[in-house]
Amino acid sequence: MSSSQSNLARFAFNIYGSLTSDNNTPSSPSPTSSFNSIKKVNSGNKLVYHCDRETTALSQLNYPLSISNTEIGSHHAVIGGKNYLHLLCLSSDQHHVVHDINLLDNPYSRVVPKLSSINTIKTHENTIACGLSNGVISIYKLTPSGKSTLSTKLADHKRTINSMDFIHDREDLLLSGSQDGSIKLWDLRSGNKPMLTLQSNNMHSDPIRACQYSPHSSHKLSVLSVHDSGALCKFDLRANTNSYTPDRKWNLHSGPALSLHIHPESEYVATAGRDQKICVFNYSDSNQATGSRATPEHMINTYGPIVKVRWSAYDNNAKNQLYKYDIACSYLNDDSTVTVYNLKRKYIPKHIVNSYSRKAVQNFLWAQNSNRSSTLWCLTKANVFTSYDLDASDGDITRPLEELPKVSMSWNNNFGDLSFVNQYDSDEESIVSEESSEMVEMTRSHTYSGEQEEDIESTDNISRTSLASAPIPSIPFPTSSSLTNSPLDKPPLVRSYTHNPKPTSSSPINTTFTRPRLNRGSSSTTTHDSSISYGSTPFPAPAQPRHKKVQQSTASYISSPYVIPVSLGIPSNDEYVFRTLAMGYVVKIPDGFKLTDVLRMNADVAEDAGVLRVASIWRMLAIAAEELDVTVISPITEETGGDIALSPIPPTMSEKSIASDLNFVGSYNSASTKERVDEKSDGGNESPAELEMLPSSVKPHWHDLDNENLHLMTNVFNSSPTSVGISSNNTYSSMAISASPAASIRPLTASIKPLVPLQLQRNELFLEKKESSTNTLKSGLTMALSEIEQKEDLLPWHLSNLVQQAVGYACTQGDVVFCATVSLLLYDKFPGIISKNECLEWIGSYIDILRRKRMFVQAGNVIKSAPKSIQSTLVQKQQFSTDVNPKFFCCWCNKLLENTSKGYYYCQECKTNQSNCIYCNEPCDGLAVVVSLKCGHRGHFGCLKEWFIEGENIECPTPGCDYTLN
Amino acid sequence: MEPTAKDNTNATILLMGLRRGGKSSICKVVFHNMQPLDTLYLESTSKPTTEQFSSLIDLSVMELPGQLNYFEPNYDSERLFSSIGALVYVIDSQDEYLNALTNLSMIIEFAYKVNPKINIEVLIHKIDGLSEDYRIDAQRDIMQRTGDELLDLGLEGVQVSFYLTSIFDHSIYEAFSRIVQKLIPELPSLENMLDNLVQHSSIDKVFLFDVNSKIYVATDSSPVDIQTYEVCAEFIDITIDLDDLYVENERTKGAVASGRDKELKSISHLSNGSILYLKQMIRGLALVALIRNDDVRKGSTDTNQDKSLAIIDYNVNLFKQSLIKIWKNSRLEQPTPNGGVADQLA
Repeated sequence: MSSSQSNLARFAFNIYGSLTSDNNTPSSPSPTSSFNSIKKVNSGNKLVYHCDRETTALSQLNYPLSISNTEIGSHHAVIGGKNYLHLLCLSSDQHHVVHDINLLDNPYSRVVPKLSSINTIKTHENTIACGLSNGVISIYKLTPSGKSTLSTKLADHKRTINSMDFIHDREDLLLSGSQDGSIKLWDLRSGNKPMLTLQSNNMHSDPIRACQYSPHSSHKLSVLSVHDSGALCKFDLRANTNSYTPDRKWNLHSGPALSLHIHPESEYVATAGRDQKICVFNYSDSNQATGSRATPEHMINTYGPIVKVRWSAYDNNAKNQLYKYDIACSYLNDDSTVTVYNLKRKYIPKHIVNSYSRKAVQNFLWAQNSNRSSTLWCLTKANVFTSYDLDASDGDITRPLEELPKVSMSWNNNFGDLSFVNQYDSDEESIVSEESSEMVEMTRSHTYSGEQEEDIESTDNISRTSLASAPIPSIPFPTSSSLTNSPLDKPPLVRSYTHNPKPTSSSPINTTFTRPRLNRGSSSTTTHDSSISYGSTPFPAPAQPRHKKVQQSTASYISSPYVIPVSLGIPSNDEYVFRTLAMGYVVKIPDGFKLTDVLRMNADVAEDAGVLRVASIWRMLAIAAEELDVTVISPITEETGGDIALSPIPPTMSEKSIASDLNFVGSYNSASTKERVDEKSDGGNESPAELEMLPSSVKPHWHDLDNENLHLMTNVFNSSPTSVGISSNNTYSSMAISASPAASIRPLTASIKPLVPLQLQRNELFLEKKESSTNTLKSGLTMALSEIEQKEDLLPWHLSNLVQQAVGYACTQGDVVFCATVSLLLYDKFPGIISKNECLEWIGSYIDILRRKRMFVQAGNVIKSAPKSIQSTLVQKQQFSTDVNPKFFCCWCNKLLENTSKGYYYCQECKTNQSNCIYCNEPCDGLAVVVSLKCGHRGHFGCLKEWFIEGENIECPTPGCDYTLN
Repeated sequence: MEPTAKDNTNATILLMGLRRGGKSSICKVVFHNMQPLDTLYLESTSKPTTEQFSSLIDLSVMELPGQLNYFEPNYDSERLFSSIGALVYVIDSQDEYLNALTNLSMIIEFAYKVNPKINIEVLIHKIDGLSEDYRIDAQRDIMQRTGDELLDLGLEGVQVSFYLTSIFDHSIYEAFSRIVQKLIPELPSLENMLDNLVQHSSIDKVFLFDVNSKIYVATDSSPVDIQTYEVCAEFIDITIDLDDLYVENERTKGAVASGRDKELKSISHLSNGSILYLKQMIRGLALVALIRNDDVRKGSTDTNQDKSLAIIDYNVNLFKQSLIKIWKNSRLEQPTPNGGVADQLA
């Protein structure tokens, strides 16, 4: 593309070479100019010109001028407005205004020009036609020296002239469309009566917003027009009857259509209107789409009501005709931008040009120039004329298409663990012959060979058309090789993670695409597997010759958007573990429970899932939290009478204070003879320090209580509405019962006889665990621990330190479940451990993952139990709403109902109302359970219950329906 | 529309359509300021009703109930159709409209025979229930079917305009504005005057509103942005509400109670720098303009705005003078009893 452009530049230089060379010298405004003073601000390399009057119209005059015997270029701007018609003679590089000629200023006539406001301007050679807002057309002729004369005035329109066009090849024919709904054809040589008028017999017919002569219809005088009603009409002027009967009429816009522009090469027209759409429509006679039913070939949705749409002046050498030219549009309201689209990528603007000083754009056009660069001329409502070179870098021009990342990545989308999509921004249209596509199919089927899920082949179109994704689902090696063969010098994404591109054919493991099977717990083999699959890119041996064949047959063979699915055996990425943890973890402290209990419960969950390290960490945190309770909170509880009771509490007070919280314990405790001690022991039940202080006779109760309490927890936990496990009652409870490793650690209390030794054993166990967990964490923790020891105020085993370390480690491991759960539990209690951003990110991504895995109940619970400060941000900014929006489907044709949120229960497909509840005649919406009877009638559960059960009826409530329940 | 018939019935709008189509709702919402949601409780209309509105032209809207058969011999439909300026047919887009289309083509056939200069307008109504994609589909379908039906009846040159309307947004006002504008013979002059006003006062958009119905009887020639229209229409409401607050006060003072030479004027500065300008015109009309603020320099905006507002005041006064002249000329044919500026705003 760049080479062809330089060719064009050279070509242009051959033609305009002399101009370009010697125009550098007189390009500065010549002081000898006898015309108006030139006010221009040359900001950077851009032409900015402030007009001193109200301006509305802008056009380009392509006529070589020589003023004061100096040749100046042949591309000039004409600006019109209220009593204003100026010709800006531009230097050939279009960066300077050389002369500013007032065309209305006629030195030969003494007559002051009458009031006139120019609405539209059209130029052809040296003729300038101005359409005035009072319905008059003024024609000016320009001499090569820049003098202008008013040649004719054509006054036949009753209302504002909105659009004009010269008829190509017949330079004296002018076409004009007006607000009064008429199109008139003028012969500039003969008088001031129109040759032809197309007008309906009504006085005020549909106002014409734009009209243009179609140069592509051979042997025809075709004229297109768009109207306020949104219609696009095509007239054939040869019919020559003064009747208003358009040849063809299409309705493309739902509001007024405001602009049209015909494609420079073929019979396509771009229309745009207030409904914020640009339609590209084939208006040729061969397009037999009948009448107003026709749909546009392309539709571009923009961000504002469009007032002007224009095809670019120069093509970009694309092969497809429609992709050759860009489309620019400007907006009706105060939007200060001109947006450039290309149909190839019609959803994302190619350029967005912000107008000078961000004023609304009045008018714009694609300027022609000597070096065929794409240039936009804009006229703002603040009467500033600016020229933008779209190829140059300019602060006012943004390029969303280029700025958006070309590579996108997604997890778990039926391809593999993750997949990448890459797209070239250059316009390579895929040249896939039939033969080669067959070849691809063969390759694909061979490579997949039944191992792969079927849905890759069946569902995805992108991968079907792209070779790159086809044969290499797991290993990117052939992709990179074929990419290097391709003529495009595009650094492929895949190289970034092909560390070792040589195929290790000896590895037998990864000839299949499927993820290496992980044995839970055996870490050595998993790491081995993953390292192979990650780095060494083993290559399926039988597929290799086929690839070579494909590469030989077609050299350039890559369609632009291609998908690379990657399967990585990440050992910790186990679906079962994730589900168990996500469903089992308690994310909110239930009533009557303490943090340490919840942490312990989570530890059990982790243990059940088989992630022992995490379980240990939970337990360690639980112990730390317990210590915290004892050491920090106890002085406070003494005053407030909290639920943690230390030994010297007066019995009355403790009974008072504790009974309210813990009276259920009594009911569970079968051997509760000494209530006070029981409660006390329950309050501080798992603190070894406190247990030392307790008399030994109580110790049996401790176990008893502990066990009871655990069961209690399970009970409450299962019924608690805020816990994650609502839907997973069975899961959790079954695990609590059956999980053997957990049971081995937790002392069973079926026998009450082991008293002290068990106690000790348990404590030892905890200590051991703590040690072991710190040992295992040592790689990450030792440095940090030494740091922490420098802090005097907090002990290294203080909860906040431990949480920090644990979370930090989990973060490096990517354990989002742990991070999110910890932040859900601890963010509010211990501010400062976890920063708000971290918390937001963890919880947000956790919810994302939960939703992706369709664990919506868990996701909802996480949102609900998120800390208050986080919750608002989650709901508002990241749209993690807990609201339920049920979708309804038509009860007749099963199409989705779209407007139910607005209260419409009306199917747009089959155009019928939904059947309402037969009892209350209200729509069956919301979360009400809808019951359908066998006769087909339906109603709310409550309504039908009222009718059948309370009213004791047996027949259907519908009048005339004979159906009876039996 | 040649003014052959000297009576004012030429500016009659006939509202027709099948029953439950939304005709009465349209009337109530547009001409009686009823809240759109309240129209749910409207009873089915059983006999023809006529509503009179004196705006720039004297306009009467006649609503015919859907269940009447106009082709019964005892019904003088010939006289009816010959006297009206516009036939508005309302189609319920949420219902089966095939019957409505058959009915419509029959009516068009009859009306066109009686009065070839009749404007036929079709409102594709209740469009709010359809999503964006279906609207254009519904419109295309209805236009196509109507065209086919008319072709079958041998009526080829009939101009039928279609509008997508809903009473829940401003589309019904815009449709009625365009229908009414077609009945105003002075529209080109008005438009040209407004164009001149726009050009000389750095106005972005100007409307000549009928205050009661918030229909615009004229605007300048630039395209109408629906947002601009909404802002201007709301501004009328605000102004009238504010005016109502203070009207008691003035009457108690009694000094300025004449009210006839006192005209309503209201200016509001918007947060984006634009100015809304409202001034009372003749006969329940008000001119509402959206004035953009071109000043880049922030410091001197106040004085410049004051200056430009003074100019706009002057220009608007000129416009009002010529409006009075136009109206007097058009009134020559049929004098109205209540001359002068009607103080409908107060």
